Amino acid sequence: MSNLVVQSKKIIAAELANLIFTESNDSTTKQKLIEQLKLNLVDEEQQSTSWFRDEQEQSTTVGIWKPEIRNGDTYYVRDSRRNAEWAYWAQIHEIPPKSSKKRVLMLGESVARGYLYDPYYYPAQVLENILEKYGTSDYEIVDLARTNMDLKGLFEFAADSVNLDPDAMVIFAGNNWYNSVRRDLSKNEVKEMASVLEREGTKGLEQFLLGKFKKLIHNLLKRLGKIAAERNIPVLFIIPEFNLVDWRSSANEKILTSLSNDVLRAWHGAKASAEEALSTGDLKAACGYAQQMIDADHSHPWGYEIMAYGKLQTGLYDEARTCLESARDTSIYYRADSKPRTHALVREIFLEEAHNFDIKVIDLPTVFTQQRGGKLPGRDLFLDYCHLSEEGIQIAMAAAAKALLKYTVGKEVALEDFNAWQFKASDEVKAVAYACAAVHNAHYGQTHDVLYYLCEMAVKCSPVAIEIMTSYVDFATRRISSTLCKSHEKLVENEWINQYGGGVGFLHKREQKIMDIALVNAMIKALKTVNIDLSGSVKALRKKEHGVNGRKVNLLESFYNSTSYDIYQGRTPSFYQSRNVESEFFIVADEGKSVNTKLTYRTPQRNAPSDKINMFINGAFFKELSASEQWSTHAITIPAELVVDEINVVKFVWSSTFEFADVPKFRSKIAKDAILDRLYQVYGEIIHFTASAE
Amino acid sequence: MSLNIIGISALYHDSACALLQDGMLTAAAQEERFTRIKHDPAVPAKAFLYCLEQAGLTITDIDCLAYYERPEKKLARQLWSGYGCGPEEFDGRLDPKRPEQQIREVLGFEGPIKFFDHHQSHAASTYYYSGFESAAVLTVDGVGEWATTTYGKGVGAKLDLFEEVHFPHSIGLLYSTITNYLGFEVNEGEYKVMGLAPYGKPVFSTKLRKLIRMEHDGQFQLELKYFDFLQGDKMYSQALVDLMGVPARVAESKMEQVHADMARSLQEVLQEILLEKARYLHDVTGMDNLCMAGGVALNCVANGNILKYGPFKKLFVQPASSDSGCALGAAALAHVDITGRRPQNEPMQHVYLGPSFTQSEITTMLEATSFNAHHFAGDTEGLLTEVATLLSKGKVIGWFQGRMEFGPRSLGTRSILADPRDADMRDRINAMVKKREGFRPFAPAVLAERVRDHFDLDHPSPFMLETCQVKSALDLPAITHVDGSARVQTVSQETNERFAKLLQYFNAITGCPILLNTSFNVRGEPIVCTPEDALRCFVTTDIDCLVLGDSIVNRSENSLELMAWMINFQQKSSGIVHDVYTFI
Repeated sequence: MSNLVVQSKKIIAAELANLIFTESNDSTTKQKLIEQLKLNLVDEEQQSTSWFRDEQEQSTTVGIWKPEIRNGDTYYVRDSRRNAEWAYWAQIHEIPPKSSKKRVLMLGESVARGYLYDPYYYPAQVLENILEKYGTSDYEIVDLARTNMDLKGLFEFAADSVNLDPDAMVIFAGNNWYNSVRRDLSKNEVKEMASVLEREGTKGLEQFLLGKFKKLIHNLLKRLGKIAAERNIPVLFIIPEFNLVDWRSSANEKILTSLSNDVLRAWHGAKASAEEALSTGDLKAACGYAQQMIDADHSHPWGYEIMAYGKLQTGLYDEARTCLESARDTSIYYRADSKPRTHALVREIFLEEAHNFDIKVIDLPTVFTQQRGGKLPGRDLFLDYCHLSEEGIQIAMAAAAKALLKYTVGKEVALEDFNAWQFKASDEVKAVAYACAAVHNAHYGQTHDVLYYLCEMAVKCSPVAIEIMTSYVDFATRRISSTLCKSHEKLVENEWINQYGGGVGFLHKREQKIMDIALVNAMIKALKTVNIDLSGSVKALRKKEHGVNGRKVNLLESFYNSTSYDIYQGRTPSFYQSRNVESEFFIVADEGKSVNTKLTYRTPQRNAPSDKINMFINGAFFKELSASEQWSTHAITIPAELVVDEINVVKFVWSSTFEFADVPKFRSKIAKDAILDRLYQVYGEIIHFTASAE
Repeated sequence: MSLNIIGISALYHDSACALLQDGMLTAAAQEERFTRIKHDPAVPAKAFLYCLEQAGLTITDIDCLAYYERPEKKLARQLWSGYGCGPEEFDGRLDPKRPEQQIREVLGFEGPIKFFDHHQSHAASTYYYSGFESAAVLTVDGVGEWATTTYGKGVGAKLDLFEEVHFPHSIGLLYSTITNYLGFEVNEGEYKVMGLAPYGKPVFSTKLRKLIRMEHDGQFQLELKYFDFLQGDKMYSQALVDLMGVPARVAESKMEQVHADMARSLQEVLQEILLEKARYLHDVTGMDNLCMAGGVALNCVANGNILKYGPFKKLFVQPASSDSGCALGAAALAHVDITGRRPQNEPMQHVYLGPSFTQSEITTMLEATSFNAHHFAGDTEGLLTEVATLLSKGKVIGWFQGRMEFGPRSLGTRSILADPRDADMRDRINAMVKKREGFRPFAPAVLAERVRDHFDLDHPSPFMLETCQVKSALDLPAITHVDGSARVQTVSQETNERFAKLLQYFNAITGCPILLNTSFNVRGEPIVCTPEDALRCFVTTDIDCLVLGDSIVNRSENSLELMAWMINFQQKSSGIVHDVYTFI
């Protein structure tokens, strides 16, 4: 390139850059300059590759197991190159060649792994025991369930698994599938989502996402149907159930949708009225207000959950189911990193269409409902959102055994004839499962009621739970990462901690550790039932690690404003943002000592200059602050008479008028997180909040 | 009313913040240290909050932010290059509004933002912190907006860059291309090439000279047929492979003599180029002092060559002379803009500008762990005696004290220390502690008042940016390079009292006032920032003893296997891993 050409191109580039920088609308000139520069503007969409592995690309391996020929027989042996994945699968080193028994493959995700009981007690084991005990010992169950298996993974793995020459397949999956929709959104689809959201609101967005989900489920159905047809084997699919009664949306899953001021006020008014009606026991009124909440915002789980409570209390279980499934399915709006769950669409498609592909369906929601005499499943059948309790596993596997016998040898057996209840986990395994479930539930925002139930059950099962909880309350209360704590080491060294991912479930992400106040308090209370009182030592430790006495504590650290790990998935700036009208902070202080705070905050998108922020201390109104579009710094002393010993709760209610300016329309820069920011607006921001006491 | 300015470098690699308060540099840190993502390019949110906290400020106390580049000019160069300019890119990484938008959105800053040229920021980052009343200024890096090399001069508050060499002609890119050819990552492996060079012979120099054509004044041109970075797939072309007659080294493959020869040749050619251009700069400016900045200025061997054989009497290289240091420069330029006065009249004395932690915090942390620790609070003499004794017995020490260093070098507050007299120490630390290539050398820290006794150096070198010959009567194999040189850090009581005292105590026991000093990290991870980072690094390496403030943890007194397993389980990540220089 000659110098003259170089210089000329530089001038063109500078001119084009200037037009872009100044956001010029002169597209003609821009296009001309682009052509002069010979820019190759390749649409990224055209470059994207197929999401699914090609059908012809069947692997010779089966998950982490690779073939090994010995004396002419093919063994599948764990591939040491993939040892980082071993923990996700059954702890089986090798799968021997097929014997004379009928070989049944059990595929699925963590629910099929028996998460929280695994590796000591798991569905494949229970299924094999049931079949053996029933006198039909010519079955071998090969446990191929993998924790975290999503729809894409299952699509590929199902095809690979036939290398094991099965006589039947049982697939227990569906909880992780929606993740495949989120992960697979192309840039064009994201743009389309943004456009749909502007045009049709959250209902349009829902249709868009479910349309994509539907396609993916159909793809899987086709593949499973193909396997069933080509292999001429029964393929059984277990539709998963959700812990409808006891799993509630976390605080992060209840952030507010961006609504017009009128609708937002209506929603808040209805919520306040519903809660008031619930407190007085007026269920009918509560349901009426809940319906108003749903009418105002169908994408928010709270209205459905209040409505469901009213229906459950009055024995209207089918209606309660509808409400609770609707609440569950609001997770598609991605307010938070919600825990895995099935979706109504999965059940709908499999119930209506699976038979077209010769896929046999076991509908766990129906099985459980029948087992409970029409009532909905809760903590009796689940340890958390989707992972089953011992009894849940027993019932589900009895249903699988029933279907297997029907479709492999044509035998009809009643569910109760299997006596599945006799295939139990040991008390120690159950104790660990309950204790770990308490931790898991706590980290995703569940209430004290459920946490205490799980802790109490753990303690009742075995003294092993006492060791776990005693260690847990210590490392959870400390500031240092749990991994480095002596008490955490002690816990991991415990011979029973092979469950919960070998203790990996206790880990937290960097700078996301929380104080676990609700869980630690539940553990303390449960331990008191066996005459162990840690309340004094925990209080002292909290004050030592987190107390404001004699030092300045940064209340914007996760310890002091977060109660779960399912954090907001949109853009997160360097400062604290509240996408709810209320924010809570914890201050660990000494009773009778005033606390000095320094607060820098702002309140974006306000219309009314008269709008106020109300500050509460331990539930009591304390102070009014002015709304401010710009950062505003205040030194605020919390008087001694308002300070209680140990945990103090500071609450901000970010608006008194609900007069917000319109959320800005999308700019051209559309990304998934931009859509979330558009859906969930910010009510208050804090960039500095410290507390100290003399 | 004080004037608070925060300088920012971001959105390419090594993002950082620096705080100037009334013209005095009071805090600076790289984002990677907080996020633990090596070379983290993100808008430096945590470094920003750190600067505020360190100074006891809130965001409303900041008068101005200064950004280290001009996005519009940079976009012009990117458009000219045609690099990856899909329509999506204009809404994303290439969006010239992105820096301001991100500063507003991520940092929440509402006040004025000033934008300065990349090389102007580099130049300011060295000149205004040099303490020179006037100086010639040379900046050399890969690329900024258009400029890749600039020539300038500073007099008082005035800093003028009077000549630029423009992209794609770039000494930095030449160096990075050969770095890539030798199987190392661009923007990461350049140090390794410099360290490899003394093992080789300059047999490729003639060939490498064909890659660059020196022109009039400060100009030069790359022979572009040997390079492929404009296409963005890789750094070098087939023509370079043909020219060298040796295939490019595959990453992580065995290092052969030919690779060392190539590194040595590159070093020789680089030194020739820089010396020639430094002479030109001197001819034009007639000044005695030279200030250098830019990634290439981290090549201390070339710097030493300029000072030794060039016309300048004094040389100042700002220790964070790569892009992270531009945060300092941008802040200084904003200060001059606002006040008309130059900031910081005194020369930069130290780089201890990062966070520190109290002994109380360290003790509370250690109490939570299973570590058996020895505490020496209030007994500095006992602490230093113990550490010096351990060092004299051949122990490798993780040394964590006071405020963290700013820039790529550990200078005695986040350091791994060892006895330089031990012949096996270099191999041991490379293999078992740093987990890196065996050829890589280590540097010495020496008491400032004893430097002349052991090194051919007649002036302080507090930032480990100069090499010189070892002339010690002591045998110092662990810090002496294959060519008899060393990259020296001189340590004084005034800037790092505890480290200087440790050297004194070590000298009292051994007669050696020198310690091997390397950065407290393992390969692929940023230097440790917090006591917890130090603890993690200690647990997962073979460091013998960890000194955290006034506390000592001995590996031999602790069982660390289980904790090491748990820590390794947690994911490690890196912000950017380049196979090719990305021009955005």
